[in-house]
Amino acid sequence: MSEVAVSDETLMSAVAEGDIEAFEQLFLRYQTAAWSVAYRYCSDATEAEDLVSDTFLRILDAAPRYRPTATFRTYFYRVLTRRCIDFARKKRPQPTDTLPPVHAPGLSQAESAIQRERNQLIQDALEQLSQKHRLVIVLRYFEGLSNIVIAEILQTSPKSIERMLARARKRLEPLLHSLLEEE
Amino acid sequence: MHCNDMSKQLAGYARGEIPQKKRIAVLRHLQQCAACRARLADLDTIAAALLKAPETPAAPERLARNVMQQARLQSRQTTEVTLGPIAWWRTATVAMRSAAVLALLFGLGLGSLMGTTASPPLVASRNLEPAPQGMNSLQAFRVLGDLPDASLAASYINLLGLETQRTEP
Repeated sequence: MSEVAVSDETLMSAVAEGDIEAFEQLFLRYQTAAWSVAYRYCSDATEAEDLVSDTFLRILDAAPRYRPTATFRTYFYRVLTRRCIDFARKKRPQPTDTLPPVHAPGLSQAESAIQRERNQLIQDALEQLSQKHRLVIVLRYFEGLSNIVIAEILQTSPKSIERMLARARKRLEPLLHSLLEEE
Repeated sequence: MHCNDMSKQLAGYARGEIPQKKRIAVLRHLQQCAACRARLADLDTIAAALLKAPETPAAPERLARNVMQQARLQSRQTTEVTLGPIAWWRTATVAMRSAAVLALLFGLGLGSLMGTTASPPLVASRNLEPAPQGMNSLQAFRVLGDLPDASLAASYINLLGLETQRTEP
């Protein structure tokens, strides 16, 4: 069996037995998703790093108690989102200009400046949302997850997610209006 | 991906119901095609607006290094803790703890019973000389009688250059 074919759940069972290489495999598979959610959820790159580290170390710590009642992916997002909510509770108000500068290769200085402005606008708009609404928006639009999957992660019903999304969209629309007018 | 293919994918994209690989292909097309972005805006205004968000930058390289370093440390500490008797006691059920306490009490009771009843008759039956005063513990081996050949005690005495007291059978 090749390494690629090993399921997340099998790797997690190996982690429970103390296999640190299996943990590294899981980390490599999920670090991008963890970083993406943490980066969009926090407005601080250092805090996003702490959040990602904390999430993975908690998964490692809880591995012996892990039971595959849901897919590992759902379990992973569940741990991550709980850490996000805990983080937001403890967080003191921070300036929102602490994200690392967005720099896409091949962009001119003017284009990079536009990208930075857009990024700031989006982060500021996300900051206006409640914790749960922000999480739902991040999971939906930045991670591309469906209502059913988000409901599993946040342990609620898809209907409830639909309602949260509707409220969050209503709040975001005027804040992101300038982005839509750019066309 | 072409605009014709997009018509089938846009609704799924807007609902987050397409697989990740397909989602990335749709996203790439949407970033380049104004007409498809307009169609997406009709389905979901926010999805269309957030297309303007620059791609999330890659995680810093030190993140993976730090996480794995801490994970290895945590794993070692967990292994050390889970092997200790205190960790066993913490994780054991009430029945297991009770059984351990009973086994310990039984062992102590049996040991003290054997210690008080078995030793004096054994010494007396062999008529061994008592160790003279001032003799150290190694020399006292000699008064215990014959040491069996190749026994650990005989080897120990030989190693120290002490003569073992041998009697012919």
